[in-house]
Amino acid sequence: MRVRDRFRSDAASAIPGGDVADALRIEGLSVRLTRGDAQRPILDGVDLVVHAGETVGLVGESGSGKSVTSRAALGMFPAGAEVRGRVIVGGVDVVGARRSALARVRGGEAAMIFQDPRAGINPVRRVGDFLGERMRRRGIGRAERRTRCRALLDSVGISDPDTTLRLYPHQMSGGMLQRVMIAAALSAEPGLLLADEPTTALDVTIQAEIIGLLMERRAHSGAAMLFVTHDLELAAAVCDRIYVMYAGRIVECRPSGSLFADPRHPYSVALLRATPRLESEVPVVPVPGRPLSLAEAPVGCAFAPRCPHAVDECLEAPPALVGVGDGAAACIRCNDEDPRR
Amino acid sequence: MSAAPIALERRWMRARRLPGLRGQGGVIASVAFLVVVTLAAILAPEISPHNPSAADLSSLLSPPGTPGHLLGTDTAGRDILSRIIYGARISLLAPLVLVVISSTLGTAIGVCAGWMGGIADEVISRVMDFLFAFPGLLIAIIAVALFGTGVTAPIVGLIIAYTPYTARLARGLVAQERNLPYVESYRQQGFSGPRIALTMLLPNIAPTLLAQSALSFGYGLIDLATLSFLGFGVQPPTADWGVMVSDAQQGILQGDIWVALFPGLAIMLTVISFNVLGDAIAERIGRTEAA
Amino acid sequence: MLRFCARRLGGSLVTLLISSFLIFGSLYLVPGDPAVYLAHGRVTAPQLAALRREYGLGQPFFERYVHWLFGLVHGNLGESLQYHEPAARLIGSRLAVTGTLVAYAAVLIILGGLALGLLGALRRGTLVDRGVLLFSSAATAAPAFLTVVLLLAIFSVDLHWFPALGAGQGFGDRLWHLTLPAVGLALSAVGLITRVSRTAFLDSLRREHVEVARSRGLSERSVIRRHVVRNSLGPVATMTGLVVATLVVSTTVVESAFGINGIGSLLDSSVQTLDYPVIQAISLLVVVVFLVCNTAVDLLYPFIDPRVASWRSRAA
Repeated sequence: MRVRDRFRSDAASAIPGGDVADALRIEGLSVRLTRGDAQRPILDGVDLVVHAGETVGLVGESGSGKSVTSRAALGMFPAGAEVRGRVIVGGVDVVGARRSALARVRGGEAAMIFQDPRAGINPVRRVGDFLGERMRRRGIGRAERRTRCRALLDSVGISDPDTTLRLYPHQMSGGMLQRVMIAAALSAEPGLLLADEPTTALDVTIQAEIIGLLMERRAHSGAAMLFVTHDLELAAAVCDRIYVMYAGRIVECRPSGSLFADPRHPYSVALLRATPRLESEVPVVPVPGRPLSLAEAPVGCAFAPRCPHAVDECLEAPPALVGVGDGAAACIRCNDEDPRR
Repeated sequence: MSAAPIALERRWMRARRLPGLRGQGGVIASVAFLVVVTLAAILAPEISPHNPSAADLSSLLSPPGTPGHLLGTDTAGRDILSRIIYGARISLLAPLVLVVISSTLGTAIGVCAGWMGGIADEVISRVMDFLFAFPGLLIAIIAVALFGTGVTAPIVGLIIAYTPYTARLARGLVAQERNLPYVESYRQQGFSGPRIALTMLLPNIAPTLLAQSALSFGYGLIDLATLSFLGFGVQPPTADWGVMVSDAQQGILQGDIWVALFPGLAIMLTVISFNVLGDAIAERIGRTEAA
Repeated sequence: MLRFCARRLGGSLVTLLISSFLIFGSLYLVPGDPAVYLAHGRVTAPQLAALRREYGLGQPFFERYVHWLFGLVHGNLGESLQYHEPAARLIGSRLAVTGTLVAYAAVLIILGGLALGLLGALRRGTLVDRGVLLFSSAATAAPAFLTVVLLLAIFSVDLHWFPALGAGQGFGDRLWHLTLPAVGLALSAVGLITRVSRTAFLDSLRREHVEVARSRGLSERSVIRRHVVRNSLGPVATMTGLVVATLVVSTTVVESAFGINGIGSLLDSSVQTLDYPVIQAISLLVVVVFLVCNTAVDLLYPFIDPRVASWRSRAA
């Protein structure tokens, strides 16, 4: 809990709304996969905003569509996907954008830190190659690339940059590789950082280290960040605002403090209760059933089958986001007065 | 957790059946073709329009479609269709013998090596390794040089060349299977080693070996036809597809391709059919050795 | 690194030694008297005795072998019964032509196989991919002798684009003469490599580092070159190494059809005249080629895939 207050920035705005200097604005994003005649929905009407300099969390379990959402910011959609809506990064709508516009976004406006650095860095090329790839594309000469890469490695806390540049990925630890990945993302000097479960593939002992590094570097660069994770507590510690996703939809959006203290959507409540915590004596309450993807969801609220507070109306139509507290939640009963704890 | 798009993409890609030869239609066509060819070989005397050695001196090198000669005649006036039908006999029988013997031998050796492990395995594997250094055709050529032309020497030579491939495959499979729990449980129940190997292991690895045999048949057919072409295998005037292509070389210089094309097509279609079958079996069980 | 080289070399030498033993000993598998075999029966008793002395057939087996081995090391590969010349000289004079032919075919195999495999992989599931797979199936099923005969018929006799005979003089002319033979030699292997490389490319395309590279704004062409092709070279290299030795033996078919005076046609004539010493010499050459190719691939492999530690040998 102590970590929570350390790295928050001062950017405000609890309710998603238009703002001129937004790093990322997703409006009504729906994605579905077409396979022959069959259609498989992945996302349904996702609205999400990341203001300049803000750190926003996107929390959900597997199948919630959080990874698809984060990749949408780079204009990367699954093969065979049909996309509706807008995804605006640095003023450019990447949905259906021209190749040159996309290249600009991917080359400099936004950069992603992937989950598994071992899978994400080409194993047959040197680390220096990987780091300098983007620079090479911009035509920067070898000597200049070397200098910049060295500086980058230095900034992420790698002590011997010259040696490291010549190493191959299999000669480095997961933690070191993720530092390289972070350095690579920063090399573009992006306005938006996308972190997709950046520590899930790492040993527990270095997770805190890497998170710390990530937060420090982000603050230093002033970039906004979309932090995708399944760990609500981690998100609360690291982010200013959090979006909770379930079955391809946003179900709650609150400043992290309020979400943690008083979640309003039954799924958020359940997520928090299911997380084991060292300090507390409260027993862990698992959520019955398993997380659904949008394709498997029933008509109406996707969480209704597992929700202890569901009523008949819940299955009529997917609930819209309604204001609650200092944020919003997609539940027709979120403003009810019944005690939930 | 790997990123959702990749998992999705994988699923999406897998849903696409590879069209054409690998689809269901390809397997059916292959089986049909092989059945036809085998029947033709067996029933040659009944269905062949002419005697394969009968020379029609009035129509030398006549093109396909000539009345009485559906596929034309060769330089000696013999009907090509008849020669292909009769040729199927030796052209298919020889590889069959080759594959049956080399597969059986290879399986026996491989199972022994894989089952026993240790020194025996080392020794056998080393010996097989040396044989890999010799291309099959070379061993067959040496055999022909030593034992004379005809169909026996090439088959013997190729058996020596092909057995190591089956042996290596069988050895690998047995070595893998040996560690599986069900083998251990049989052992504990008191079944003897050889009994387990024969009655339990073999049926499990048989499909993979079968797939490999199908592919080997194709290679064998090609190698044997090559030897016949060179004059080292089946000798003219016996009808054999390889011999027919060799005979056709004279006709080529006069610009007539079909004399070589039809027997060549017979070879290719047979090999393709076996490859499709072999791949289909392999896909069914999910693993095969890259030949 | 040095230790790895030494080990590989040592292993190859052992293989070479044992192979040479097999090649040497194969003569004695002949039914009947080896001397009579070598003489082809057209000699008198004293000539037979002379032959026996020359080949040391009276001596114990092992002594003969060592003697022969000794000769080998000194460049004496035996004497041709047909030409009455040292086999080494016969082979040596033909090495250039066959070498060029095999190298030409190898280049075609690598380039053709990679290009077609990439085409199929990038256009997976489409008509183009179907065409590539169809081609590779047909190519692997086409025996070299058939390809060669058809190529001759179509491109030489019919269209007159390429010469039908000989190996040509001078570099350009030689390449022109060797084009059809090289294609005939290579086609079957092109089919195989196409299949192998296509599988390798498809596998690489699925990898996450390809997605990461795209996400960083690299052009698709760069991504394919640096992250797909580069990662798929391993299996292709291995396969090609295995295929080259077979090419040398297949030249027997190709050279006789095109009237090229190379090692292949020498092998052909040696079998027909039962010139066994030459057959043995060529067999040794084939084994050497096989070992050289595979050792070369093994040594190059750590450069292709750095994850393979250079002091560990690859699994066969």
